[in-house]
Amino acid sequence: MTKTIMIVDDSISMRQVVSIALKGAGYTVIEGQDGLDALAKLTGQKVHLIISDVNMPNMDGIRFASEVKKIPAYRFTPIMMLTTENGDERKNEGKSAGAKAWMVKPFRPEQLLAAVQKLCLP
Amino acid sequence: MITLPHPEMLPMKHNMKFDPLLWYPLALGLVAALAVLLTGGVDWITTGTAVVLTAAGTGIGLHLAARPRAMQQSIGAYLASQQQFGAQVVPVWSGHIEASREQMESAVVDLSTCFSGIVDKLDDAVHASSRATDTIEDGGNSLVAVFATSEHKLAAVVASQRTAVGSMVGMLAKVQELDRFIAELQEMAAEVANIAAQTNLLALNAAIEAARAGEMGRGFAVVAREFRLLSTQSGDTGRRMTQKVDIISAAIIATCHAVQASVKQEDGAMLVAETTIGVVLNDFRAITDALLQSSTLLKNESIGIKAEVGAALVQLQFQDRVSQMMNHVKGNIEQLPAFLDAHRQQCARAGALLPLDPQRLLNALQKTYVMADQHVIHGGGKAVRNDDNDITFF
Repeated sequence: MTKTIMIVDDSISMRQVVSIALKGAGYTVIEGQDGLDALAKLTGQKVHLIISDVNMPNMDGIRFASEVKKIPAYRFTPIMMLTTENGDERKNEGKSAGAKAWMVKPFRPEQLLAAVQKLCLP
Repeated sequence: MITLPHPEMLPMKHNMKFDPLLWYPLALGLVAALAVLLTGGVDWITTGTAVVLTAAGTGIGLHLAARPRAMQQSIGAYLASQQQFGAQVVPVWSGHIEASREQMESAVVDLSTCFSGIVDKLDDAVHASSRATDTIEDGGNSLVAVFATSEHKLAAVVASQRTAVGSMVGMLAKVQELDRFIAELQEMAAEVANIAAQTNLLALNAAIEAARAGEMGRGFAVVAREFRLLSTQSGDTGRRMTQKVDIISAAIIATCHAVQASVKQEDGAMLVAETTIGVVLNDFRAITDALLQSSTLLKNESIGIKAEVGAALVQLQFQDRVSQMMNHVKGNIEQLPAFLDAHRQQCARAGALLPLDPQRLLNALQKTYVMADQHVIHGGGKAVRNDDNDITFF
């Protein structure tokens, strides 16, 4: 069974870049254009990992992570923040919100895939 | 659109306090007028003198006060124009930056969509190549399997032919063995003829002896005649046997020749069939090998191109970073009119031209930074490309 990963980013090109890297490795991808849109798309289906940007309109990645952790079905779904931000303060905010990892853009596909493999639910 | 107040609506501090340039000459004129009135008494001359002195003091005061006010107004106008400059230029700069950012974003999205489409198509090509390779290489219905089965079946046909020829050769040997029996039969027929001849001779002698015996030998003469008749019949049978054996012998020889010719022909045909089958199978193998090679090459090339397009696509991540940087700079530029206005008000409050300190604006810009590169650039450094991902696991 292929694993499903949700990508949340307001940049279409970033979603495409991440999506291609993941699809190439055999993952199924769900896309959300911001936190609010992504929450609406979490309808109970199995999601093995969520990769989210931080700075997004409507609902940013930190709040999105907090909201995901409130949904029983996704309480244990790992979240990785993929952002241009690299400040320790923001990283701590992400950690407090429930993120399991913080990756700074730009990423290299092999490193993204290594992190994804490490974080994905079985 | 920011509406600027008229410079007169933000008077300089000078307008609000005591102006000695205006009041000192006026006061001096009044004091002199008063002194003239007190010392000279009140008559039309002293009164006129006092009025002239007061008017002179007022005129001098007004004249002296008018020069700084003009300077003051020009400074106010300059500060206001500075703010207007910002208010007019900033929206244009901001508009250009936003348009550039939008165009870049739109172009990168289009580009990434195209690349994404190419990657998808290559993915389809790889899958199709894999299926083609599988069709050629793997599975019971693959070309290689069909080829092997065909080769096996054709080999079986050839073997069957070879067995048939072998049987014919065996049959020929058996038939040739019959030739030996024919010779024996011919000898036996000759012996029968010989016995018949000798029997006939004996019967003839017996008949002669019976005739010589007269009446006594009549019965014996009958036996001798019958015996002679039998010997004649035996001789005839022997001759017929010889004839039949000759016919059979001729038939066997003809059959042997026919079979030999057939075996020779079959051998030749089989050789031709084997050679032809070998050539056809080799041709077929060459085609399937070429097909397999071509399919594998196509698959590998597709995978290679897909990887390269994927790598090119990854480079488009710059758009996200550049877009954020441009947004931050744009936001900071948009603060410029308010910053200049605040400076104008500070000058107005201080009543002096204060230096324009960029630190507040720069600090505001610095607060928006989210990338390490931005801090490096802010400090006057040059951003260095770093291909190693910064990743933190919690």
